[in-house]
Amino acid sequence: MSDDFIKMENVSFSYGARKYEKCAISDINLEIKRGEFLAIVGQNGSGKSTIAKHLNAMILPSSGKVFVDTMDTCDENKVFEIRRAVGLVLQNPDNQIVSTIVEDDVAFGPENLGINPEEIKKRVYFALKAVGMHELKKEFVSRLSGGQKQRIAIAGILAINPDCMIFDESTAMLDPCGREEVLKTLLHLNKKQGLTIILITHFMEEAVLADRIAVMKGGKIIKIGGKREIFSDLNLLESCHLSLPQSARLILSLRKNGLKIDGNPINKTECIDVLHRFLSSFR
Amino acid sequence: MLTCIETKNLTFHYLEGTKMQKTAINNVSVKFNSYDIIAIIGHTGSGKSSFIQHLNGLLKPSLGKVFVEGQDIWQNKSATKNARTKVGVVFQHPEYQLFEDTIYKDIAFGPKNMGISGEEIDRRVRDAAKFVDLNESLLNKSPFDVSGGEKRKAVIAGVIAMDPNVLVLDELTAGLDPASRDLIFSRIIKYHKKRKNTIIFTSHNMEEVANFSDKVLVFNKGEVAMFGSTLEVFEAHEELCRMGLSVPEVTDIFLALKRMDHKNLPNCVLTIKQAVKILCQQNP
Repeated sequence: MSDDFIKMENVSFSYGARKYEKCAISDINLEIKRGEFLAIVGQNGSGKSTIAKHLNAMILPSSGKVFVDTMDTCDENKVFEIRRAVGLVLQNPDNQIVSTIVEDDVAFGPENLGINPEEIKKRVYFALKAVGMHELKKEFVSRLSGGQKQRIAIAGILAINPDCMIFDESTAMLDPCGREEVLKTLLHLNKKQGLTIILITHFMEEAVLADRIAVMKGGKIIKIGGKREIFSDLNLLESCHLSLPQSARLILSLRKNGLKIDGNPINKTECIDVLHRFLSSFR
Repeated sequence: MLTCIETKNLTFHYLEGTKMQKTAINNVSVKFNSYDIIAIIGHTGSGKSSFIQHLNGLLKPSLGKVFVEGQDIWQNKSATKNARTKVGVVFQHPEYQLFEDTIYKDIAFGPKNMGISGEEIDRRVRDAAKFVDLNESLLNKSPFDVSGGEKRKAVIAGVIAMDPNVLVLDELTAGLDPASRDLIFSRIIKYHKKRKNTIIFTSHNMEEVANFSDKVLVFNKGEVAMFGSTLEVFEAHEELCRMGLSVPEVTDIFLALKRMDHKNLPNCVLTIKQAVKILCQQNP
């Protein structure tokens, strides 16, 4: 088995049929390892969602190749297997939920795969446990909060036993509490269950949770690297309509105003630590 | 100070009279002053969006009244119509608000309905597109052929083109990249200063709320839990957390520092700008 779970080779894609139409993504080369947590950031219209849709064969490349677990997404015989392997969580859970009762919705995926009822029961149980929603299995979906609905959408995908999950701005509509619930679930799936996670987000505070960050601009990946590498390249961030996490922005503003502060924190905990040392130094 | 919108005992039940009846907002009485920027925050399902849909008469109260510039908006048909041109609403899901075959026509729809014609419409459409930084080349595209963020910009442009006295923005920046978020907000603030209009926005982004609002209205379970200045509301951070809300990251950082025995820091720091000022003063 190859180490790269997902491989995109020179992938270009255009939504229009005409030749002169601008490509939504062009010449993308991307390798994602099994169990990796990758964040994709970039301005609106930079091609993030187009990449996501290539990874479970929702769209096929205009040119180039996409491999999921060595399966070519253009191979019609593999489409079901690819869609089982890679689950996609959308921005708005209402677009993804099909049943009125929580457990029925989670069972929808495995039912469609023709799995036997005993196995479905087990899967629904594990999926709801994994997202912390087991107590609400008999609840009406319509009575749930946004964060809870999003967790049901995630459980629905877990029940088809995927190897990889893509979150396409899945926290954009949620309140702070709901966002935290979804992020916790996502980290749990990555760290404890070894799922490969791809997180598309406009929140830099979320992107720092990932192992690697890919930065997109105009349909291309213009940089990919560790969070510290990405968030130290201010010119890159500015040119791509991105920002620093608020903690990093705070420290940067302090330095611009002449304060001598050591360290480059990129999250809250690190920032508190740095400022604590700074304030203690002149007591 | 002039009151632009007032609700008195506003109550709304979904599916009224059925077994499924559910109270979305309960007995809400608030007054918004003209020229304020008001943020509305609350847990998903707390009643924010239901409340907003009452402000321009999209929902009719089960009980209570809504006044726009002193006029009961359900008094007669012309009062309702009046409310709809005075109060412009940008909704949460842009895809539900777009329907024309080009973005240009979509932006032009509002002003056209207000009885504006010809060149004035064209000017408003192009100005509004520029306002939200929507590329001119997109105007003749179908609103369904552009990215999510571009759809959102098109919707905002459509409401800006109507130039309403009260601009209501429901989750304005959800789904926008950070630079577009900052850009659209700074343009709205600039427009607000020039136009002297009232802005009401809902947001889950506490940093945005802290940076841009004068006042914050907090909804919890369909009722008003707090209504006060932005500082007053974020000072009650423990109460906010209990309601599933949070404070900006910088506020949290300063709360933690204060707990770590840096006693001379203030209780509540809302923005990076304030934080810089405070720490520069501390620097010997």
